[in-house]
Amino acid sequence: MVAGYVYDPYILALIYSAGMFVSGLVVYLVFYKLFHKLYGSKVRSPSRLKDEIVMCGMEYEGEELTAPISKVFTDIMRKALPRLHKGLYEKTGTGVLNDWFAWMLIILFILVAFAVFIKPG
Amino acid sequence: MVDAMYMAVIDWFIQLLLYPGLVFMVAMIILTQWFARKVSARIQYRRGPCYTGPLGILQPFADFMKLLMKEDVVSRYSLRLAPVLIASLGVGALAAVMMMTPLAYAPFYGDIDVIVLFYLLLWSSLAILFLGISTPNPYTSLGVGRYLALLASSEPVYIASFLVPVIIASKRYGAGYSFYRTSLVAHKLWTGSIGDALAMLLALAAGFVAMMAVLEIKPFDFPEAEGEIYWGVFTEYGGPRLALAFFNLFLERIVIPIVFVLLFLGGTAPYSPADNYALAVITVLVKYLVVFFILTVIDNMMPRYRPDQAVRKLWKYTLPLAFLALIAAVYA
Repeated sequence: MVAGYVYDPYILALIYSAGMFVSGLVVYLVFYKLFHKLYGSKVRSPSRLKDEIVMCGMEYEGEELTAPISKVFTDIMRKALPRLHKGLYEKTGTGVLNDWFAWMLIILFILVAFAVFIKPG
Repeated sequence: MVDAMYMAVIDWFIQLLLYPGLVFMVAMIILTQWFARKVSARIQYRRGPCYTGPLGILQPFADFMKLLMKEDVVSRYSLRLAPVLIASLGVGALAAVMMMTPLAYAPFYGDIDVIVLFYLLLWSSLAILFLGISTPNPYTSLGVGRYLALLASSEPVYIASFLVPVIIASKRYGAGYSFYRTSLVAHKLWTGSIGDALAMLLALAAGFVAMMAVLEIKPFDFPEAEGEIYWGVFTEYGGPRLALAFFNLFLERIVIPIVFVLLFLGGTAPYSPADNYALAVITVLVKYLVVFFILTVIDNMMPRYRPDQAVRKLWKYTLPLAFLALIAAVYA
């Protein structure tokens, strides 16, 4: 067993990101492409693109069959934490998730600015 | 210099793709899924997988191959290539994490590597989220909204509590906010002082619940809820795409509990990888199997929370617990 390889955080982030991409590429090529080519079903439908959306045991057509994800999220948060939701609604003046994200982005930029421009000591 | 670099590249490839990376993780998925099915079967008075391979151990592999053999059918309104690529990257990120653990024979680590660890672990959750977003079904949207609420509630708890051992190890033993170095001194973290022990205890409790939530172990499995929203995030998936989604889910159930063992349950102790590498690795795997067994039993015994119940409990009880542990770790 060797002692291992010690790097600074920036190089380490690059090493692991490269590892993620190489490993991900191998998974895609071997498990998705190669295995499917070798063992995949030889019976093909006329088109692999499906027009219908399966729902309640039946198939429906159309793009309009969607539920707004952000509404589901904010609804769960409103029910789970009514006081926090009310406070956020009153402070930010909105109950829309995208507006909250905009506020979070502003706070994130302020934090990044603090981290970059304010040096300790 | 060139030789050292050459060796580092070779070690990187071997550890990433063979052991303890991809190939080892595939073997672990087969073993743990067989184990989970056997435990579930015993709880439900069934026998579990018996026929494929000795004691049915190859049944998960047979099921995986069955999914790969199916035709790759896609909805006309969904993204086609992007979900497959993102799911592959999620698997890649989890396999790469193993190079940072004492299971690796030549680990790659450094100061503040815990940030890289969290960055990689987040990839698989984001991959599952992306798999859901890229299909048009209303049940999928419900599942994604629920999964988003679960992640927004559990990730802060999970990260805050998993940081506690790293902070204590850095304060007391000069670990430099390194996950790998923390895992080597994990057995000493409980006994440094009463404050440390209290911080570790609070973080252990909060971290275990947060880990259950991140892994969608019952009672936190409401984003899937097969009887309610038809498997939520995965409603539209089948064939090789579902195989990749399962790859992500099952790998998450291996890597995150191993990280939990390395931080909270003494890591490789009583053995050190420097003295006896083989026994140190076996110790970690045995501890992991115990944690996995407990998670499987809980998953089989518990009913499911409603989404708002689960989110409320995570915010109300585990988040303050995790922050208390964090404060205790910093100031104790």
